[in-house]
Amino acid sequence: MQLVINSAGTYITQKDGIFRLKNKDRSFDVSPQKVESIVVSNQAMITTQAIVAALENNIDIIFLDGYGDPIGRVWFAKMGSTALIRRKQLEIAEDKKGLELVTDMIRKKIENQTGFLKKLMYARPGKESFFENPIKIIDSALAGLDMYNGTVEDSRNSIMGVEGTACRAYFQCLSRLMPEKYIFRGRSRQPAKDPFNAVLNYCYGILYSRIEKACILAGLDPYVGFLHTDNYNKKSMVFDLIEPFRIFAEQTAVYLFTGKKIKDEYFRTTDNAVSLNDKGKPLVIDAINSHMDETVRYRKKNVKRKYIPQHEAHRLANILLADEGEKRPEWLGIKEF
Amino acid sequence: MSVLVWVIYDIVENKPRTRVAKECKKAGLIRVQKSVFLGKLESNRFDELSEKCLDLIDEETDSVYLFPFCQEDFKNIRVHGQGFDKKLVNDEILAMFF
Repeated sequence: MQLVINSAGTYITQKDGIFRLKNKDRSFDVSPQKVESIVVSNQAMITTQAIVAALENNIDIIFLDGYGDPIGRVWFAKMGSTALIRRKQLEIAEDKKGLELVTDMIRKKIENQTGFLKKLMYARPGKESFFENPIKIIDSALAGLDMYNGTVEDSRNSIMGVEGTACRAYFQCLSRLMPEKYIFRGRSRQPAKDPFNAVLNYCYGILYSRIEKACILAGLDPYVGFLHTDNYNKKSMVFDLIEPFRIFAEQTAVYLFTGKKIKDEYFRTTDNAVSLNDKGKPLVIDAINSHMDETVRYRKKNVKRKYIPQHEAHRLANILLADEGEKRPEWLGIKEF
Repeated sequence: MSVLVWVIYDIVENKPRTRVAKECKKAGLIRVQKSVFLGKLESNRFDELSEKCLDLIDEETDSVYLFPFCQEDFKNIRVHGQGFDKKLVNDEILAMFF
């Protein structure tokens, strides 16, 4: 399970190899065997023994800011796997292969979007007209993806353009499915301007930390990306690799709204920003966790969604390691739809 | 593979008794009565716990039972009085808020 610390003044200690959470007169013991990660989103105190126990058991401690974006994590001092992967990552970023990998990721992302829209369409007989146009726009954007060659550098802007066009059509279409008072106008980040974006941003934030973990475990350097340019402290690889998996966050957010699970009291509204409050966050975390815990068909096996990013990160690492001319292993085999 | 387990013991000496209880907690089981633990374990963890308990007790006087049982049986459990959290025991709680 995920331990989410969201009440102020919680002590996290360790006794006899067991985590102990204490807050005033409440206390909860849990074995490290059962904990997957510790998420701290409020003021808390954590002892060094508890941190060490977490490290020894492969549990990562993540600190979240108010928007749900991870601002830091405690992780062991070593990176997983070999440094060769990271070296290859740098080489390939400037190579034709880098471009191929990038288009794969973006194509998968866009395919996921149309897949999801179609799924929503079949569930709403009689409303096909809502969907036809956006799907057409997205499909024609997708067709534009195959024409590039050279390096990522040359085609970065046009790829980003294709992605942007598809994205706009996609979110416009989603907006029309919302209950009337939650209809939104496009994406907004930091700050979100409406409840849907607030929920979606929070879901993305949780997903980021999962993808980052997958990168580190697979030996990929989270800071060296292909499509997303390198910058100070920018986790470009995470931003690249999250693309095909964003759908998990989007599904969670859409189903929360269309399933009428969202109430006004979950949000804090200031001038032109909307964010989740302490009532809303647990609901969203619960929703995305149970969504990620569902079993789906993946490479002829039944696998929980939460394990898929890890598998794909390993596959990406293998592609990086493969020699020239060697048959490239298939990757991004996510068959959601 | 994980398996649901009851651990029930009767141990005369205080020291080994607390040690067994601690091992059960460490393995991730939940205390449902003074000398009864319940929870889900990986099957190799089940073997590990069983070996540890065997080491700790005095075989002449003490007893420890480790009962594996299945989901089907878990559904049919009836609890009267002060019960345990079924979801917590069955690892169905995905996020614990504190």
